[in-house]
Parts: sequence; structure tokens; C-alpha cells
Amino acid sequence: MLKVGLIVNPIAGMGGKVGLKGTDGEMYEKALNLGAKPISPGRIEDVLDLVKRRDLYFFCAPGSMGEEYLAKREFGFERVGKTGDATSREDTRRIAKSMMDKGVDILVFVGGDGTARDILDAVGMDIPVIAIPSGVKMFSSVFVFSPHAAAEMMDCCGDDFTEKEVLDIDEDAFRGNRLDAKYYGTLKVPNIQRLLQGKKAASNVKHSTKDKKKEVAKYVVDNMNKDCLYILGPGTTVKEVADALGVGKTLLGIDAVFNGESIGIDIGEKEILSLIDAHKKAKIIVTPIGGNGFIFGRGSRQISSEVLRKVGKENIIIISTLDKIGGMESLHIDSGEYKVDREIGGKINVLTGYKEEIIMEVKY
Amino acid sequence: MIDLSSNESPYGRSCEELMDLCRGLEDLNRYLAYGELERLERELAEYCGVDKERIFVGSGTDNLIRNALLKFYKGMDLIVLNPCGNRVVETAKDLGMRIRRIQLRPPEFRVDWKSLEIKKSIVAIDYPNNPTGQLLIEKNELECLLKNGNIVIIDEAGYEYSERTFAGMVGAYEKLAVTRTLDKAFGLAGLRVGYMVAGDFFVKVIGKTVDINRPAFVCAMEALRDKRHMRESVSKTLEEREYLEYRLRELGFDVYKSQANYLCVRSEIADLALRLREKGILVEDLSREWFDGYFRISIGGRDENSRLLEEIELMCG
Repeated sequence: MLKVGLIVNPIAGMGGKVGLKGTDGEMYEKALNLGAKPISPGRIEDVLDLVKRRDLYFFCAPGSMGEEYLAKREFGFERVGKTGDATSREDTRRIAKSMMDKGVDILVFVGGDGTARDILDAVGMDIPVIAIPSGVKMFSSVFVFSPHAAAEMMDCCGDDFTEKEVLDIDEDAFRGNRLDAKYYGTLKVPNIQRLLQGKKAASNVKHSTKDKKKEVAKYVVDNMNKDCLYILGPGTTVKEVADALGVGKTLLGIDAVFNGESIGIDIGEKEILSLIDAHKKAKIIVTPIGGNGFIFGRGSRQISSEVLRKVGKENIIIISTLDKIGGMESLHIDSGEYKVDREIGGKINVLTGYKEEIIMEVKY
Repeated sequence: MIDLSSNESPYGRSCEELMDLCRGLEDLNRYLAYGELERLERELAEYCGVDKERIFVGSGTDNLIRNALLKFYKGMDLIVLNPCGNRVVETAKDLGMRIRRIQLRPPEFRVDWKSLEIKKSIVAIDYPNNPTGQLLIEKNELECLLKNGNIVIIDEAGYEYSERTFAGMVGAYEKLAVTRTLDKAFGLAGLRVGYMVAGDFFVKVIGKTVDINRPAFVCAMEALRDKRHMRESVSKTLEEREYLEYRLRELGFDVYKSQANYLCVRSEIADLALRLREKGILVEDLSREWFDGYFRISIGGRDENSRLLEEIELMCG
């Protein structure tokens, strides 16, 4: 029997679709007021449905932090610790410590960068973890790249472990269009590299790279269609497109342009969907996240699976510089909906210059 | 400086051999005539097992490929692997061609050619691929590309090491050309003698010109006349490749099986290329347009390889 600890941060990722870039501090209340719905429960349900091995015995946190997902299934489990009505980071830390005392072999948790830091505070390098992403940003390399990867990791984890980084992202800075990532610590994870996401590297700012970004942006702008809605994802490469058009753009939010005019700044999923409905044709322009290669599902949850379904793979334009994309083995998608991931997955062209592209594989 | 970054042969020719060659240079005041070049074409045709008409000699394979591109680029895309050794991309960019790269991924670096549905393209493939040392296209995949009307140029710079070639197919497929060189196994990198074995489509359009100089011609003729030097240096290089591969694995490197005179390796040692450079050894760092931690190491002679291994051992502590 493998003794598995399970802790779910039920509110992680809720800020994403409503454009809040995180639920630290008072942002959780704000996300609720904006109609945000929980994401983590769906994630852990997916993982538990996909796990094949049956020799697992769970030690889980109470209620929405773990117990309620196991109660519906056939796994043996026991509850560890107590929580109040609203769960907190103290609950995560305290329960993770108790699980360690119970002698769990591995600790599975669902959350974002914040949750990873809490787990690290509690267990350090003493027990290995499987980190299932459900936050907004998840820049830490400790995370697996999808629930499918998490299930596979649970199925085949042995006693070979590696160390992965946990980063501390300043959410206030992130909301203010700055990426401020600090190294926070290291967690131990099963050594299955193909299932882990890379660390987001700060985009290269060499002069030649800047020129190359401009070149890609010029090609995109030269080939823009009239009467077509363009949804612009985050990142400095996409910002070059907005600059080439002469319109404003947030660095980390989602924006929209139509016939060369800005028609939406820092918009959430709902606004994106209604803009798509109001226009005959829509395209999405995104750049992969440096290091981990995500095109959708990290950093820009406003571009949800529903948005992707409506726009379609043929209307997704991926742009990058060659020095950034060339360092990636493949791109990743984790939109939250397997069917959408599968449709967008496979071979895809990425623009890397004026009439220059590279054919990449999108994994899901 | 020990240069293990340029895929050159470490085995030069002896002074006596060079003196012999100089005796063929009395006519240095004369241009090389096409009639003379034909003799070289004949030697190369025999070496490749094709008709002389299919052989085009040029100053380096990059120039031969560039000439082909100039003739055929209109309305065509260029397809290359990423990374790849040839410099065809710059020419394609100057010509305003659309460039499509195919990203290679370890550990098997395989390209699923059939799923890419390539049409109206000039496909330039290095075989073995530089820097991975892998043979990344099969005969049936090549036939499929050609049957779809694409022009395919296979760069076989490493042929003498891999002994795998598509040159025998140029008679059957008019849009296929194979380029090779005397730079590597024949040890004439300083003279840059390349040649193309071309299908009819190329033969009809590309005119024969005298693009190499007399010293290059004289040395190429001699190198082809007596192939012992080439065979010996290839055999030593293959032995050294096996040795280097084995030792680097012992030192914790991931080493990919290579069909060429270099090894593609992955190492956890931080700033490996930079630190080796400080010790006077050059290796190619592949992180600029490809993955961090990947390097291409040309196979040197035993002394050079031993120096490299010594330095790496010191870094490993």
C-alpha cells in the first residue's frame, strides 16, 4: 500500500477567469463577488478518475480540502485534522505537518504557487510531493503539467526523486504588470521529467531579441484581417503587436483589438465570450510562457476552454522569438477541458519572424 | 586552442604529401579550365556511382545549395530542421521565402514527415543531422516528399562516417539532389571542395561553372586518387567516437548515438562550454537556438579527446 496525503486548496485559481491574477489576501473575496467558480475540485476529481493503481490509501484533509472527493470513490482513506468554514493557508500547513507525522509516503496537493509555498513551509524536503496545478500563475517548476500527468505520476512513481523549485511571485506586482519572481525553496518530486513543467524564465531582453519580436509583430500586423476580432494574450512578444498597431495593451492581462482599435483592456472570460459572440470572426494571438511552454492554461485563464472552443485551432496565432521557442521541447496546453486540449494538441506552427515559423508539438 | 566545435578532421596530411601536391601547382598562373574540372567530375562520379553529368563541383556545399535555391525559390517554402547545420536559411531569408523549421526533440529526435503534409517546398535535410548525428529521414519518407512535388536537398557532409546515402536515388527522382564534401573525412576543410549529385530537374537548370581554384582542384584529385588517408582517418575517428562516448557517459553525460564525426551530448555541468573555453578547448554550445545543457563535440584525435576528458573530470570533482 502506498500511503498518500491529499490536500486541496479549494480556492486556488479562482481569480484567473475573472482576471484577478491570484487569490492571495483579499482578492479571494473580490473573485467571489465577480462570480468566480472553484477550479481545484474539478482538477482533483479528474486526477482521481484517471489514476489506475488501486493500492493507494489516502490521508486527506477534511471537507472541500480533500475528504469530499474521496468519499465518492472506492479508495480507503482517513481524515486528518480539522478546518473551520473558510479554509486558510494555516490549515494547509498544519494538516500537511500532521500527515507527515502519520508517515505518508507521498503528499499530493492541488493549488498554485502560494499553496506550494505553504506545503514547503510544512514538510520541506522530508517527503516527496506531487503538485497539481490549479492556481493562476504557477511559475514554479514543481508542478506537473496537467491532471493527466498527475495521474500518470501517481501510477508510476517509485523511489527515484528529484528536486524542483518553488517560486514566490509578488501578486500585487503581477497585477501591476510586473513579473517579480523570487526563488522560495525546493520540494522533492518523483523524477519523471516529461510530466513536470519547466520554470518560467524571464523573457530575454537582448537587443536582437527585441528586434526579432518587432519583426514577428510586423508580420502579424501586415497579415491582420479586416473585420476580425483579435484577442491578445499576455507577454512582451504580444505587446509588440499592440505597439505595432499603436494601441495600448496590458503586459499580463488579456486585451482585444478590432480594425486596428483597442476595444477591450484587461478583460475577463465573460467579456471575451461576449466579444466573440458580437463579431463574425475572432482570432487569438498568444506567446508561450518561457521555460514551461504553456500556450493556454497558465497565466491567462481568461482564455478559457469555452473561448478556445469558439475560436478554434485554425484561428490561434502563436508567436515567439526563435531563441525562446527553440529551447522548448514542446508546447503545452491545459485548458481545463480534455476535449479542447486534444483538438488543439499535436502539430502547430509558431511564427518566429517575418515569414518564418517553426513547427512544434503541443502536448496535453 | 583545441577546436572541437567545427566538425573538422583532426588528421592533416604529412609534409611529404603536401610537397607532392605542390608539384601539381606549376600552372598557378593559369585559370582552372572546365576541361580540367571534368576530370574531377569523373572521379567524383565514379566515387558516387552516378553519371558525370549529375556531378556539380563548388566551393563548399553551402554555395551549391545557395545556387539551387536561387534557381528554384519562387513560390516555394523552405523546410529545415531545427537545429540544422547548413546555412541555407540566410539565403532563403534574403530571397523572401517563407521558412518553416521543424523542432527536433530528444531523446529520439524523430520527424514524423508524413503527418506534416509538406507541399510546394524546398526541403533541406542534413543527413546525418548536424548537431544530433541522427539519420532523420527514411527512404519511403523521402519518396513521399518527392512524390508530392517537393524539391529535396540532402546534405550528406558526414557520408563517409555514416556510410548511408540517397545518392543512388537521383536517377529515379528528378527533384532530388545530394550534396557532399571533401572538407570532412578527406581532410580538406581549408580548401572547401563540395559537390552535388543532382537529379534531372537540377541538371537541366543549373549550369556547370568552374567555382573552385587550382590548389583545391589539385588536392581534391589527389585525395580521390588515393583514398587511404580518408579511410584511415574515418576509421580512427569512429574508434575515437566510441571511446569518447563511453568516457563521457562514465562522467555522467547523456550521449546520443551518432552517425557522424561529432557527438551531441547533454550535461548538467553549468557553463560547460564557457569553462572549457577558458581551458583552451572549444565545443559548440547548442543553447542559443535549442535546448540548454546540450552541446556538440567534434571527435578530435586521441590527445585532444584526452585533454577534453581531463578537464571535464576536474569539473566533476
